[in-house]
Amino acid sequence: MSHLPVVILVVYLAAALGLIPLSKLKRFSPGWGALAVTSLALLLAIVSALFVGANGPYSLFPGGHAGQGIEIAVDWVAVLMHLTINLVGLLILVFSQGDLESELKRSYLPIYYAVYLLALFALNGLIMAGDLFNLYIFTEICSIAAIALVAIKPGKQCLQAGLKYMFLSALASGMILLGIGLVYMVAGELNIRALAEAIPQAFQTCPWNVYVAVSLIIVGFGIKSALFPLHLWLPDAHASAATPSSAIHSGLIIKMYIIAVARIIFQAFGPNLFGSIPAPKVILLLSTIGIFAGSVLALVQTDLKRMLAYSTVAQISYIIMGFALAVPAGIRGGLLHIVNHGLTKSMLFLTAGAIIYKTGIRRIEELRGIGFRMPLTTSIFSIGALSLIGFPGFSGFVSKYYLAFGALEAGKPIYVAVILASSLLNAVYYLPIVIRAFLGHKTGKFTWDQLPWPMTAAMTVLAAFNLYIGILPGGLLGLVKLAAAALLP
Amino acid sequence: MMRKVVSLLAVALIGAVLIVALAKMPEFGGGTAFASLFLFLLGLYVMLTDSNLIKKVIGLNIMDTGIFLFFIALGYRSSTRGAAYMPSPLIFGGLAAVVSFTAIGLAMIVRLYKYYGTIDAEEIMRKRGEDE
Repeated sequence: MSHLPVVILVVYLAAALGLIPLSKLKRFSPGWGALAVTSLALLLAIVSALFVGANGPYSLFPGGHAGQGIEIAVDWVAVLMHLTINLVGLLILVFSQGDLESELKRSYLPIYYAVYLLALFALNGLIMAGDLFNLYIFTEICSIAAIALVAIKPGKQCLQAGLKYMFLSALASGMILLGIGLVYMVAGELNIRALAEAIPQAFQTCPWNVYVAVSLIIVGFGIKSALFPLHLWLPDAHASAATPSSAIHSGLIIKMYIIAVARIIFQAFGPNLFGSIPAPKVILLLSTIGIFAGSVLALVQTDLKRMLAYSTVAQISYIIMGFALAVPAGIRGGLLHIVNHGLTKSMLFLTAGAIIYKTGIRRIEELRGIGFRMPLTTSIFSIGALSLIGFPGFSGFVSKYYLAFGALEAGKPIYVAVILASSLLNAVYYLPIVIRAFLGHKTGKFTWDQLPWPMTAAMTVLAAFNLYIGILPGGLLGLVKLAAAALLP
Repeated sequence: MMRKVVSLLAVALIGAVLIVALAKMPEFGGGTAFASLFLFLLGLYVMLTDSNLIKKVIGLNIMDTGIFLFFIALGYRSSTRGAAYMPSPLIFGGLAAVVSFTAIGLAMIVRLYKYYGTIDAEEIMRKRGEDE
């Protein structure tokens, strides 16, 4: 039973490698094959979560030496993120059964699904990496799969966005590797537990080395997870990619890098060291600028998917702010927002994709009256919009509440004002779309959505989870409290 | 021109910080490590400033080679402490990553060339501006 998390990885990797040869068979549909694998992984993740619930968190050491070398850490963070990744990944995959054939060449479909499974494989591995070597490898696999997911859609825009993403991502990888090298140079360890013991002494002898390593790692992961001035690749990539790619990018990939860097900072370097250097102040400042700049840039966009992409820049800054506050409530807020925003933003991208699929409309102005042509999709979009605004009773409210609580706990009430003011800004760019969609000029008569059933099903289930978390957040909160305690005891 | 100056300043700043950090380490006298950092900075500069996409990819490779060489320099140092086994798997991982980035990047450049008939980033931006 304790090897279940590894079984998830093996299943994903085997499926990703086997999908392309298998798709040569006449009766084999790669989409439904990928769906079956992801469902199995979700089932395994649930069983693994129940196992951890009964027996407590544990670690696996494939190298054979407990406490050093390669470590697979199955703690509460890993459990929470496993459930999120596999659930959201599954629902996006359900949606793509209806949507993807309209966006990609038919011959690319098996490759797309294989790369998608590879991305899920890397995400599942990344969040339970207990040593810097594993963490680096999974980061790389995830980055390369992410680039492929953007660049696979035909068209100049996707290629340019993919190329920009590739250069920045490769630069970030280089920085992370150099940072890991500098840490290894002074501490002589790569295992996170062993590092936690070795780093305080190394910091005494050569503090500069540790400073540079921390900054390289933070900047590297900052590029990959789109911390504000380093977000340049994100809007192009997220706006031009195929709908399921945008959804998994915005919903899962960029956030799991934050979990990775949080593991390095809090578990290896320790919150004391992190608090004693200027890094948290700089990150807090940047994330505040990011929240406002992302919202303002989203406000001036005319393209729906581009607006959602800039909104992601703002929302990811909330998560980074929660972690940078470095107090338990802030980390709870950050983790909650990872889950909530993962569910919400992937849902919003899927609704945008459904609107493009049905009507071909990308411009926000033309969405006037869309509520009469696609009532269900527009309602689901409204749920997502209200959630991101932080309207009470929706999931975004819960995470923003905890973030505000974290700001108070850290003794920085200014950030409560930041959260309130930015929620107002979010309302300024989300609400007009909803209002115009339902109350704008009535064009034509009322019809139901008439979408393929997988698309409707995926969006409805995501919306149901959003409403559930908004109304009854108790179960998720319990899990998040345990996970936050694993990061910051 | 402006971009080159800014990039040069940024690279020089990163280099100065790295050298200060390394020079303050006790018993650090490895010329190899400094040479590898020079390669890293050179690659970074080429990647940031050159408008030829293939040259950008070459810059990326030089940058990462610098990092690998840096690890090798460290491995030599730390072999006296009996902990030299870890850098080699990390370099293998890094090599695989760079090869994959290079492969996927070159594939995208080939397809961009089919669309625009050039591999110059500035030219592509200009042609894209004309399209819109």
